[in-house]
Amino acid sequence: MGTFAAMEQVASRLNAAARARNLMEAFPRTIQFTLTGEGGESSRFYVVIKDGRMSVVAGTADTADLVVTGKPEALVRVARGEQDVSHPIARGDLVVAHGKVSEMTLFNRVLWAA
Amino acid sequence: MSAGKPQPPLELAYSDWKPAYLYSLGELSPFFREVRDNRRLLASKCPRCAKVWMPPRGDCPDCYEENEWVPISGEGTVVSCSYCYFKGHGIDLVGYLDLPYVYALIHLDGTDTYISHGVKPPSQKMGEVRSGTRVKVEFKDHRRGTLGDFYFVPLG
Amino acid sequence: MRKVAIVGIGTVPWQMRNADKTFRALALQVAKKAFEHARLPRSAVDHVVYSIYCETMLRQQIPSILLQDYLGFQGLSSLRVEAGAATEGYALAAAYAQVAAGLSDITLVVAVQKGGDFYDFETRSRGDGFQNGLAISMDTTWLQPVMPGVPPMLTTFCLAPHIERYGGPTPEQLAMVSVKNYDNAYRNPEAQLHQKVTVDDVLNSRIIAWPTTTRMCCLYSDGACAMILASEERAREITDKPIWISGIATSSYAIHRAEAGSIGRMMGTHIAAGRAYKMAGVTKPSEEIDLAQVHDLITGTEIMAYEELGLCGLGEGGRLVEEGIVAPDGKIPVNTDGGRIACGHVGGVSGAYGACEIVRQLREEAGDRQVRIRNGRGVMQCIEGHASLSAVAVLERG
Repeated sequence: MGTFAAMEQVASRLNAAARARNLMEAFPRTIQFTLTGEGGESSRFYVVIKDGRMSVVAGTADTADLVVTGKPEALVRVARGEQDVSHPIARGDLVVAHGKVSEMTLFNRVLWAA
Repeated sequence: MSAGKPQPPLELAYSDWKPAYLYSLGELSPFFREVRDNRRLLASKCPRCAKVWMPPRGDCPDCYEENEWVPISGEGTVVSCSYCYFKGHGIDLVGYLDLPYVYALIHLDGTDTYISHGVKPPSQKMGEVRSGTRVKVEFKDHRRGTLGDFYFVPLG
Repeated sequence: MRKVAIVGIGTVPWQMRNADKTFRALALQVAKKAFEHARLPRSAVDHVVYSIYCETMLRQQIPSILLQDYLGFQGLSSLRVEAGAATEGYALAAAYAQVAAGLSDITLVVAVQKGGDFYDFETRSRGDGFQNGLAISMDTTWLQPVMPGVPPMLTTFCLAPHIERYGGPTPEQLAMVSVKNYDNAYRNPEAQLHQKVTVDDVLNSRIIAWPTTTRMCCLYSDGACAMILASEERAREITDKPIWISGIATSSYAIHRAEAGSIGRMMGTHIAAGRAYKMAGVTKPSEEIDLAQVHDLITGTEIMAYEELGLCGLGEGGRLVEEGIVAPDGKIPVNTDGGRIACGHVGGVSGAYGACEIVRQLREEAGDRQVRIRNGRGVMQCIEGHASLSAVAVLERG
């Protein structure tokens, strides 16, 4: 499954869960993902967390709190709940190119809230 | 004890217990004043046994003699360390430096004991700071006179 | 000095949050259970020791005033003991001393703590609130401003230098301890977690402080338990299954002051164990100890505890878990209750619960979790968050 679709699936699950919405209310952010697959194909989309809901939008955001580059399959594993985001960051498979790495922990917490 | 239909326990939010201090650093004042005003580290040396303590202390715990202050270079060697990719909410220095935060036991040159402190690693990847890495102190622009006014970075 | 035995215990399920009871009612609940287990009236108690680590968690200083009143101990002598997450071992030592010295015939030990009332209003997390509230337990001058939490502190101070010095334990061995303890908790109806995890689950959980991941870290809980200690004469009247405290000791050893030879060790446990074993007449722990309850604040400190307790040689702890020696069907089962990472943890209570678990096992009252008892002897160890304060107790039947 593509990264965009995987993230959309997570978003709809989170938006349906009260606990996740509570965490998202405390974490309004725009997170830009600019990922490059093994064959060189790029995947650009951004996640908007606002008013306790998450939406996933193709393309590049005008402004973003966090910009993340790296491998799409690394993000998919995180989205699927298989591996915490600290691991791909530690390996260099995901890089927080702009913004605080510590916010990715909070993002991960949101992703796994439901 | 029962009174009608069971209800969930009542929860009250309290943020009232935040003690305020005008806290005296006492015998440690020279160390923190030097950090705040001169961007320099001091260690404490026992005049009897010559052991140099870091973190410094006013008295030698072995001899019960009052220690003397000695300047140190601020350079040292990592004894052991661990890459932290989690930030608990309220830890100021970790927030200032961001993650990963390398929490290390450091043997500063000219001292005989270890201090634990944060090392800012060169990248987000794990492994560049390790046992044996040489580090040096770096001071924040705005200092109050606390341990969090400085941190360490790899030398070279 | 008189012999001292544990003649009754009272425990309750561990929960991340027990909002139904304040610490007063929790304390009474476990005290009542201990009296029922020992078949003793309340009036039999002549001294009370409170194992309470943290006043800020309770939002109450001098908690023993409230508890003496709530438990109906008007006029009774009491003592409240504090020693971080080693509080319960220190409390047991204090209770033991009171009875052994002849100042008390029956001492009630009550351990109670509430971790779950802390809250972080910004991130809406009890976990963050707990970390924030815990901060004042650290050296406020030399640790707290730079220290990212107890698991990183134990990893940097103890585990990382141990790995440097001895080449292990490996991340996989650290994860195996988690799998073992989660499995054990699964069989403990009082455990906070009833989950199964694999080595991969544990390794893929969040890196807290490499190589320690979330699933290798202790929980935070609301907890309570109680024990009744009696002199030898009274113990034999009360029960035909007294569990003797044959050795008990405490030790403090500041890790960050470590001399080069002690880096990568938990010297507090080593020293306390030496004293407790000497008192108990234990000379070869790997042969004479049937089971152990140790503080897996991180799984690394569990492995290091095997070594410092003499269950194996230095550097061999990883091998012990890999070979199944510390599994419930192994030679020396460790943390049959599920350990601090899966059963529950809060300073002041955990080690007391561990002692209760050993009592259950030695009395062969552990149900599904019952392990084979050869010598009739168990050891309880606890450390606080710096591994500086440590307590070790040897318990035996007979």
